[in-house]
Amino acid sequence: MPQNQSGTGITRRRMIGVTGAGVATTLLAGCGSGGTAETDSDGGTEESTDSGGGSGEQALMWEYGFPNTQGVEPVWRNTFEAKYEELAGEELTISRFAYEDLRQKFLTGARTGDPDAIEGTLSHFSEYLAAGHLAQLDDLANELDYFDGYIDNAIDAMRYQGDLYALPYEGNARAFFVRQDILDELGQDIPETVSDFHEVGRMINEEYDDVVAYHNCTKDGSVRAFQEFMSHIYQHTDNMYVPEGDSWSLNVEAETIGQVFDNWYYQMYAVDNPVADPDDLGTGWQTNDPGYINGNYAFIEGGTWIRNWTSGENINDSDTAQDILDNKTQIAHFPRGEGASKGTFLEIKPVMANAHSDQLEKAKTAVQAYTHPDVLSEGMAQDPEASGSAMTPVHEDVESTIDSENWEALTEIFETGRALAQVTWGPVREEFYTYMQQVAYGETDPYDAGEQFHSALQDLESEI
Amino acid sequence: MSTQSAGLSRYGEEFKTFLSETWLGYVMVIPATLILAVIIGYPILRGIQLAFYEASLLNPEQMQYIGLENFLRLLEDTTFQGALWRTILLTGIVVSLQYLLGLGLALVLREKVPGVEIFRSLSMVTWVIPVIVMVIIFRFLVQNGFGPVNIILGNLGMETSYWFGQRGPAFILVIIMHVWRNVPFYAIALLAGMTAIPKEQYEAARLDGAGALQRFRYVTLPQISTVSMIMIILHVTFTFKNFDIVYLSTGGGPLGSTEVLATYVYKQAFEQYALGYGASIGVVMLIIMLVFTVVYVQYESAE
Repeated sequence: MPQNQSGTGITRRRMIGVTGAGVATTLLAGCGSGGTAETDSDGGTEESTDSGGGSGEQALMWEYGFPNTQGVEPVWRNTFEAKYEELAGEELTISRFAYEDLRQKFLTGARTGDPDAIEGTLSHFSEYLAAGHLAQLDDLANELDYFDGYIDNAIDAMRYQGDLYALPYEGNARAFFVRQDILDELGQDIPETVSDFHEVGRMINEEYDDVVAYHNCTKDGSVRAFQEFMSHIYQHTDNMYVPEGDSWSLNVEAETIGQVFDNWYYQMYAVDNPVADPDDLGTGWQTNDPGYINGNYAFIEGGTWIRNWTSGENINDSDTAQDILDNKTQIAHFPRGEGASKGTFLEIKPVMANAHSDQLEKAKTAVQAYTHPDVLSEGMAQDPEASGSAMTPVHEDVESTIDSENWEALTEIFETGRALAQVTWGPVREEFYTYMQQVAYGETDPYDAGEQFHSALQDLESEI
Repeated sequence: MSTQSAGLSRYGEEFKTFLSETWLGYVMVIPATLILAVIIGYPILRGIQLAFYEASLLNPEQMQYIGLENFLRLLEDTTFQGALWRTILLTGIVVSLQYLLGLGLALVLREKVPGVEIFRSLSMVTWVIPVIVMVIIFRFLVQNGFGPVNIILGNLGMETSYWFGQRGPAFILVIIMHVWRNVPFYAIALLAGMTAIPKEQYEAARLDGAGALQRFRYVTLPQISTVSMIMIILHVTFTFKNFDIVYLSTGGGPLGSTEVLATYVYKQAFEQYALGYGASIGVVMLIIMLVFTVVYVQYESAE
């Protein structure tokens, strides 16, 4: 009997062993556990969904552009759906994904034909294009009598080698958010040079106990951190990479990268008297944007989405936030280092059609409806949750929603914005995080890191 | 010759009997086997195949066979080696702490202490909340300036910081999150095992003069060994391949100090577009987990 018991026990254990081995083998079926529940691009809501399959003959669209605040009427989304119905004579299915989920699912599954249309960011656009997932839209553009109304910068960003692969619906340029009231108290002007900025920043840190002069994103993997870095690169060059035959050529000097590292990371965190707070190292937009809105920082790098962000779980006090954004904030160009001029990262949001869709016409109609000037002016601009998105519209028929003198500079800054080239930016971003953190944490001299990063970027020329 | 035919005929008879006795079982198993083959078997085989190819996420159809090159590259990849070491360290520490604390909690929950029922229900909260919510809670706790942990540290005159942004503490926080999340699950599973032990065995041990520690060592522990083994195997696997806790809290930083194999696979596949290389890391993870499972099960069986 004991033998039997023992035998049974071992068999059961062996079974468990096999089960365990089975579980272990699922490692190869994917290391994640469902969707990444948080995006790290511009901030805003965090959400993911696991649904998203097609629904018969209706077109399917994946997007993350519409606001999704519970209990609030989705003005923009309703306007879009009405426009699509008007153009296509039927409804369409919309699935909402966080950008990172949307990107992963589209890169791995676009060949199935789903979704028919997709909204995204410019870096996604480059990747989808390189993967051959995007349909050309020149024929659609030729049919649109309002096509010429899209601003040149935005349309140029949607082209690759002369062909059009997307239409734009939203644009924003990264700008310097300045607490004017603090500068007034200190009798200082908005700094135009980096050295003035460092000086004013250190003065603020000395004078104020509850405000830190500056914050930027330094978290590993933060897309926002990369965009901030690119803003400063665009102060020196129109494009980090330029086309050269079938490849790309690096268009920035190692010295310039070193200078950007020095001005915006080393001086911020790694020196003895830093402009930013070294205890904020490793944070992303989750600290940056609410930190400014709550009054913790005097300067940040931000965009239009911050305009109406006066409530929510990250905001300590809505009235204070409102006051800071309405009355105490001045938008300005970034301070410029040696040899730099006005320039910044330009975010243009594209809407694209899946080249593998078996209902391409409907996909193009979805693109048309999403980017239609009527939808942008009657939907996006009128939606209380999204009106910031229309502050710097990408179409001339859409009126800017800038309602404050302090924010008017956004229009001029928008004109100095440079969109990302159609490079697959993933490997560039990965290299950036390594060198940026080495500088910010004081591990490497900024100019040495600039040399090393420059060399790594050159090595990537043929891969991107 | 006749002996040979008799032998063959006997085997034939036995085969027929075997089929007639088991065919229904096989028929019933076939659907599940086919589904498993498609949803588990195919991705695994595809993953293993990819490991021997140079394949890009952007152009997966343009695969090039490169033999063991991806694996040889791993031998020189210091980031991979660091991630492997951290993954093993993380798994070892996390599973040990989870088991010990879970066992302790199970022993407490077994006692008839006032309020234990409420505590038993509440203790599962950490296990059921989504990982992203847990990460947001922890991020808030250690936020620079106003995070409760920093407020306490500040009041005690100690150093404050955004601890996810500091090299050593970031890794410790990842460990704490794993432990915080899963200890209740261990406790409930071990408690179920303990409840199944007949009270008579404890009575008999007591009559034999066994003290509390001896009763725990010779009655409780052996009889929760199966459930312990399941929990340990499951959580070693879970921790070894866990991606979201690290990725959402630190992204693998600062300076790669929390980079683990799962985040490294993700970065290789989805940022560097190196599907083949990412798959080769997945194969290494698979082998390590298989070896662990086999050795552990053998060890337990021998015990």
